Amino acid sequence: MKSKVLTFLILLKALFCMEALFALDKPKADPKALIGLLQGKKNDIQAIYDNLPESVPAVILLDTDFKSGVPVKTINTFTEEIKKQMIENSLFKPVTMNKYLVSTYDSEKSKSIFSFIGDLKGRKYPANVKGVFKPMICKVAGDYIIKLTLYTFNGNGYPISAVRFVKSESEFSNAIKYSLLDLSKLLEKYNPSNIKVAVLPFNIKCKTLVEQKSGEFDFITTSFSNQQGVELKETDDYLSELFAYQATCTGLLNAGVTNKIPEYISNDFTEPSTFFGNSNYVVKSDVILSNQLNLISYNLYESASGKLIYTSKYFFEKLTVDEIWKINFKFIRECCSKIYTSNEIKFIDFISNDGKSYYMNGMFAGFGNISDIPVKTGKTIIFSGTKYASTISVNPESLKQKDNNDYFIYTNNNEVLIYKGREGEFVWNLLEK
Amino acid sequence: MELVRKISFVFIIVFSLVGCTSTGTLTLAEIKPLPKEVVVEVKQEFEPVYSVMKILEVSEVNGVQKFVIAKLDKVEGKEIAIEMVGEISDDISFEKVLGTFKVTSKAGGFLKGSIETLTHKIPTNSYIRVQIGQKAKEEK
Repeated sequence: MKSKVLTFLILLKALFCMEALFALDKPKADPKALIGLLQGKKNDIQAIYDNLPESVPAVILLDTDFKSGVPVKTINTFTEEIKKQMIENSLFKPVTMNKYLVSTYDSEKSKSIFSFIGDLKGRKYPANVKGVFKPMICKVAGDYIIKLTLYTFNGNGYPISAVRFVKSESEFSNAIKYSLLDLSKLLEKYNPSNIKVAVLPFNIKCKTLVEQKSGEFDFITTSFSNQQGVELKETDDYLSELFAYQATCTGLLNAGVTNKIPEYISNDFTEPSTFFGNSNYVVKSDVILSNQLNLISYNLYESASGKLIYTSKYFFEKLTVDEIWKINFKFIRECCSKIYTSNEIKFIDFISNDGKSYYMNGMFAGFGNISDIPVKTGKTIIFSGTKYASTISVNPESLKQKDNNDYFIYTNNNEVLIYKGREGEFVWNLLEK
Repeated sequence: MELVRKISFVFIIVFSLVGCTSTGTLTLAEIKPLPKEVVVEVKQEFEPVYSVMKILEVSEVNGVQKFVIAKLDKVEGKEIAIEMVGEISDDISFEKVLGTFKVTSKAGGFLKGSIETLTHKIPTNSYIRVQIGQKAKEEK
């Protein structure tokens, strides 16, 4: 009789287990958890989350912004990895505020990111909330670009953010971990430029070249454009975010996109003068993507007068990470030359940095050769590093080491002197004598 | 039979472990801003500041009390101007006001006022007062 009862219990348990094992939305049991359970430890992520101390800054986690070409599974993996890395490394405590945000902004959206953050800043929270966290992932040719943006309440709509390029999902873990570390450091200590630049979402148009036998041709409007295997739509604007990020990492501009949270912010306000009071300058851009040639037109406006003060157009054949990065820096260089005097800034035309990443002002600034970077007059360091982290971030003592590969830039009148590694450190040391 | 029990025991343990909720599930805390603090604006109330003077003399015209004369306070007296209107009372607390007067002149440290209205005859040792300003009422 006993054995029958036992068999019945086993079968019942097996049924429950089968359900759990085959549930699609539930990740499978982690061996670590089993070990933990056997050892009597409560080590699951929920327990860590629930026990995060109050000192860990809380962030309001919004839905991931994703662009065409990124599979749903990848988006989910990306989002889950962000939560996991935040919690496991005790860097941030993600919280949600969807009910309040939907009920508040559903009927009337906020005018801009500045008013949205301003509204939230004026409230008190039942946790140590530091700002609003918006992740973004997009696919450019063979790369994923991930961007983690934290709209801190102190930043008044100008965020701190971290960008990394990754090839596959297997790199998410490291890329996210180091991005979060960057954000954590920036949250602690950040001295943004006083020059505020509001970047409007880039206006993307997709075209396709149609040719006739007679030689006549035209670029006709299409709903998407295939760029290096990724079919981009007009709504797939990640270019503005990268532009704002790159402009900020120079340390010369404090740039932010006016609306990257369209679920709560209206798209109706696009006049440069709308942002007077929140910005010194406004950047508006039009992008034409086609199967032959792409065109990006940047326009720089002065917020106070609404006047167009500079415009520039760039043509490029392939929409790749390298190409976008280079073009953005070219226009940022031009912008800085209009905003600052020649005594205030200088330009780094080219540094060979093949195969390595570089970092400026606590932010990832690019991969490979360094070109068209504006720097403040005086001393600047560009840190080298891996695709995930700078040498100084991983090892704060790296500057003193013999195999230091960082770039020490010193501007002497109109001359830009670039020293590398140990030699650079010697030069800087002598300058202080 | 013993073997069946042992196998069953092993099965129970294995299924218990495998069937446990995975460590991946995570429920984030849903927060909302705390209710805005309602700031009740306290209406600031003011109370008048008077210069109170003892009447030295009440002069009569045809048997009717027409003028009052009082000594001006050195400091408060500077705040009193011609044409200002004051009150007359037989009590320094001014609980019962007998009438009103208008300042007609200030000279030699004395004030002369013309009686405007009067409900009772002004007895000796009465007082006059003129408002020279106001101050915020102290919260009780």
